[in-house]
Amino acid sequence: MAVLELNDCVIRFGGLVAVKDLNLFVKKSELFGLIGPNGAGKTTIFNLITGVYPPTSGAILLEGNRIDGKAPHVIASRGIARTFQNIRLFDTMTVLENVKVSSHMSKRQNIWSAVVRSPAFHEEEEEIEAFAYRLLSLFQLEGCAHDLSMNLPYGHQRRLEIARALATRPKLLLLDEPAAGMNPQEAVALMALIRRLRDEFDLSILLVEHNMKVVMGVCERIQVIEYGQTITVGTPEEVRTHPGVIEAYLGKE
Amino acid sequence: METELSNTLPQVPSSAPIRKRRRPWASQRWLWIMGALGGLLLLQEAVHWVFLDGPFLQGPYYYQILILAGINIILAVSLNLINGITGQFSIGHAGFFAVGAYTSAYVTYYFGATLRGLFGFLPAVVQDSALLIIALTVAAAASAVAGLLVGIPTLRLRGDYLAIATLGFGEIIRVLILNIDAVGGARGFSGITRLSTFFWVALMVVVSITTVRHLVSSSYGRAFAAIRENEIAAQAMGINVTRSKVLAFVISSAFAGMAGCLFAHFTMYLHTNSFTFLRSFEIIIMISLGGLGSTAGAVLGAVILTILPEVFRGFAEYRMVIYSLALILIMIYRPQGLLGGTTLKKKKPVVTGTK
Repeated sequence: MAVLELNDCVIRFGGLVAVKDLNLFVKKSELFGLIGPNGAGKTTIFNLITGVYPPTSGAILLEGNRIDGKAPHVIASRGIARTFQNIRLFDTMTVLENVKVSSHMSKRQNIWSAVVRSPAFHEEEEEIEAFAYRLLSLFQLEGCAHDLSMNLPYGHQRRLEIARALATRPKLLLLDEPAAGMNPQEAVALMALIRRLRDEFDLSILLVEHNMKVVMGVCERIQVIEYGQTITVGTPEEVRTHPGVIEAYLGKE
Repeated sequence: METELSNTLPQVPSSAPIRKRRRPWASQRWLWIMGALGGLLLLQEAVHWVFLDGPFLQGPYYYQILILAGINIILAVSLNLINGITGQFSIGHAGFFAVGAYTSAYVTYYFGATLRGLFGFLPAVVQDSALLIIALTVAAAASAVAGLLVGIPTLRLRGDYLAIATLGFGEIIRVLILNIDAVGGARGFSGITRLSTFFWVALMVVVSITTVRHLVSSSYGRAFAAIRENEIAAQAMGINVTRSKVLAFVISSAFAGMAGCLFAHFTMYLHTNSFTFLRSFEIIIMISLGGLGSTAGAVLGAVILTILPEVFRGFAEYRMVIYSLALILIMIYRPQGLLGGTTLKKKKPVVTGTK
């Protein structure tokens, strides 16, 4: 069963067709990779799925329900979470607060309860804090829970972004170049982490990545995009040997 | 209510210390509130005795500064919710201050006698307070509605555009009032009863500070701060950005309206000259001086900027020069404001990344 399904999606920016007749589906609990040369439209596809840009035409379905044209926060509440290619943390908030932000949409207490500090409010705050601490400990970040997120080292910031996305309790997680700027050891650790997340959180993961070792090593299926169009979809082995892919990356003889 | 929080997350062995916070005072909070109210009443007696009834020649002058400082604190703390915490640069706060001042003054001026008739059985002091409560409610409601009407279209704008739009709305409100004859128009609105006492100003100061502080440290405050830090990421984490901004704007406007009500029923005379954009800038300077985003800073900034011009009053024409110099020096040596960056964190953050 497909968690995410894109049917004939088109995005046009004026005369430029950024994404053309894109079909894509991600199965339940699948690790799905999206690759392509620079400027192929990978991040545009992420923005399309998360509602930053509505599609010019076409349909996007999450577990069979249309989500295209919905606002980004609505799509987030339906169960799609993401990280960003250029890290977008809440810089002057602490690590713990960064993760707690994601619980806002599922809160049960209203604003009045927050102002008068009802017992139920305190109870929920404690719940949110416990939940945030558990996520942080899963990412080995509990030690710097009270540091400002902008003061974290780069690798920690990347992990915090994933933790924050998971705190929205998604069904589908979109990772935009999670291995960017990582050294080989960190990339290997990341691959293990991605697999572990999928298993433990019962997630489907869609990732965009330039590091071929990570993509080939972790993804079960890969879709290759060039100039906003699909070249091929298949297992890492199929993709690696596909002539169109080799041509897109290395050029024609 | 059973929650699904624990179901979605696998049981992860956590080394993090999760302790139940004790709140022994929670069960006795009504006792605390009554005690605080009693304390404020006693404080009012003391303040009256020192400034108004005492032999102190300039007493009433100092009393006035005290009340105006309180009103400025409410304005600064409430504006800080939009400008400092939600990060939306609004310069129309004087407009909402004016809406509160004029609507409440209108109500007490035209319907004051009728309303008093309703509580005729109460002693005079209590009648005044009851009337003021009604005026405060009307002012808060009117300003909140004005905030909603202004906020919905303007808060979709960003940065400079939002600043210009709010500036414009503030001026529109002022010009509108200038042309309403029932509230005096260009002559000014005179004959308002004095209802604001030290007790009510102090109480509203406490209420506004408490409300903003409680909001900031709740899920709402984290959403507001997330919008300030990164709107795109906030949206992606499921925060309805426009709605949160409008919410912050409406709450802030409501408190500005209450400050306006206290102001109107203290000075007993209103003129639109008190509500120009310069007034808005003054409030912005208060929160920038104290430290954007810091509630304690807003309070400090409001107090300093109420007292400072008075202190320099003796220097006549050099007053504004010294005042500006003081501000420039602070901007150079402490750009984050006097108490900037201290409110949001409970524990002092470690500056270096941890390993």
